[in-house]
Amino acid sequence: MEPTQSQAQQAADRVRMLREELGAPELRDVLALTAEQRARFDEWSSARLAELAKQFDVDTTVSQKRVSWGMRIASTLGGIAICAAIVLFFLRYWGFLDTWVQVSIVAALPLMALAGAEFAALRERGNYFTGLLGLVAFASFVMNLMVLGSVFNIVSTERALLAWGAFALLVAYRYGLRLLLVLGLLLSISYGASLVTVERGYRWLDFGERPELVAALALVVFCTPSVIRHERRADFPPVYRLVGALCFFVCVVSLSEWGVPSYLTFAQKNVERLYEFVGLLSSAGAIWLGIRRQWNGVVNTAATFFVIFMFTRLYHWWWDWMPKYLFFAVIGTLGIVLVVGFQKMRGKMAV
Amino acid sequence: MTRVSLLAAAGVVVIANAFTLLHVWRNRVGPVEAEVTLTNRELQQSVSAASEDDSGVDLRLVWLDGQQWNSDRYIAWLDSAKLRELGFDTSVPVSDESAQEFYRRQRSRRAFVALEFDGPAWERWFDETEATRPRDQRQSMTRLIAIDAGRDAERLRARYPDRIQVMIVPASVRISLQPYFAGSGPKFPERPARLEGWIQDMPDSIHVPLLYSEGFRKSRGDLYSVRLRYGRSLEPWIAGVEK
Repeated sequence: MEPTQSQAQQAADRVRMLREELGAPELRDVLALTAEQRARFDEWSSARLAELAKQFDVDTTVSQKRVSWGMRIASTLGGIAICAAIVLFFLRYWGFLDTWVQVSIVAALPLMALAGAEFAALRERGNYFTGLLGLVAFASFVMNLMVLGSVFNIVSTERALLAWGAFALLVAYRYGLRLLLVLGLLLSISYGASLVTVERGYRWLDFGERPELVAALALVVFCTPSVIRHERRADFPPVYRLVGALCFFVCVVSLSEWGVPSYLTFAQKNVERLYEFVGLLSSAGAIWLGIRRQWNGVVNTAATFFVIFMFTRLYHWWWDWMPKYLFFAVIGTLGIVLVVGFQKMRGKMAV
Repeated sequence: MTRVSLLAAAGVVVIANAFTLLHVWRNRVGPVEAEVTLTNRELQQSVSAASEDDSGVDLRLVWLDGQQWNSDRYIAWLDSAKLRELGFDTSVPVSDESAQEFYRRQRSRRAFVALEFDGPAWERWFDETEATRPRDQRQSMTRLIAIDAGRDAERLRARYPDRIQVMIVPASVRISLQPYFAGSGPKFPERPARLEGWIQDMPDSIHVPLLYSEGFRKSRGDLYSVRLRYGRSLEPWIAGVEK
């Protein structure tokens, strides 16, 4: 199977690092290559990098990587700015248009942007213009349904979330756009939660009032890459895990601070204490899982939330009865203890 | 790269638009659910309407929930029996120490509200609350008042068959236990705890199509009457404007 762009980038990074290491004086003492071997290696590595660059537009030097990051940021910001421009331009003039013209314009815009993204994808090897136009297509589709709702005074429903989520996921998978994948996953979680909310007779907009529901759906998103393999989109599973973990921990944090919205019928304080405990336990578990499976994003997210849960608990215990300077001194000491703990853990993982 | 996902993405856009337009068509064909002629008192031009950055013109439906304007504010018809009928769990007695938390945890429920225009409910409410107003507002205040709610729009319509005076609109209702201000001062005398409901949300923005919007854009503050029609999906549209 042909490698994906991200796999090609990883291969190029390995070749580049190997070239750099072979040039280091200390390695030359251990691994002595003859002039002929060295020339053959240089020839092979240059050809390999050139081939990868030609086929996948990968970065072959550190400087190129930095510029690529700049291009990605510019592409995203440019996309957002163009979305804002389209929406504001439409708002400025839509009142002077007949209803059928308004409807035609807003329905055509996402299709035109989608065609533009396809055109760009066929012509560029990177994803800069494709990503920009993909984002514009998504924003245009959001505006499309919102304008229809406004023009025809339609009572808002959760079904719009389904349409937006499906569109974002399809475009994300077609062009390998991670920002749209994030939006698609968030919209899917929101749709799932609002569907259950509506089925139970509540207002769909209140889906966030039961964070456990959102947390359960976030766990489904977190586990999805374990069930659905992403061979063509190897860079998507970390996005699933990051979105799932972030949504889950945000819900648990909110319940540990304000237990009223919980499904559990215990007293509010007990719900909050329970979710503090759940938060500490789940974030520690996620750190362990992330280290075991080498999921860097999960480790970083879980570590951040572990610290938040721990400091929140300490705040509830000590803030009122302890002098403030002492509270911060204890927090600082605990921070140092954590760093030492992580250092020891890191030491054990060394070769 | 196959074109399946591209066609699927385009299909989502096309289907969503087709579905929405079909929904609009279904709402507007067939028997009209209600047709009420409201004035600038009930349908107010949005302050931000037709600004330099937004050329669209919208009207805002201004309605009263029927609360008394004195110390004992509550919607009389939205009592615990009505709240139970709307699906709220009222099993915990209001005197129970866990009652406040129990009712605070209940989310707002979807319901349909009957809005009466310039009818006996408004007359009664106006007379009862007249003393609390600093000036006479009989000629300026909205005459649209909520008079009932139910989970089923058709049953609610059966109770109020007058389609010229009563509109049935989707809304959301919330429950609360109300001893909050009681006994906190001369304005809030001591009273027993009571379950109350309030209308949390109701679609209140009405878009004005191009055919009628020019008049609103040119002369703000004029008197006008708008013929508002509600279709089978209980969504409104403007059927006529008179200035």
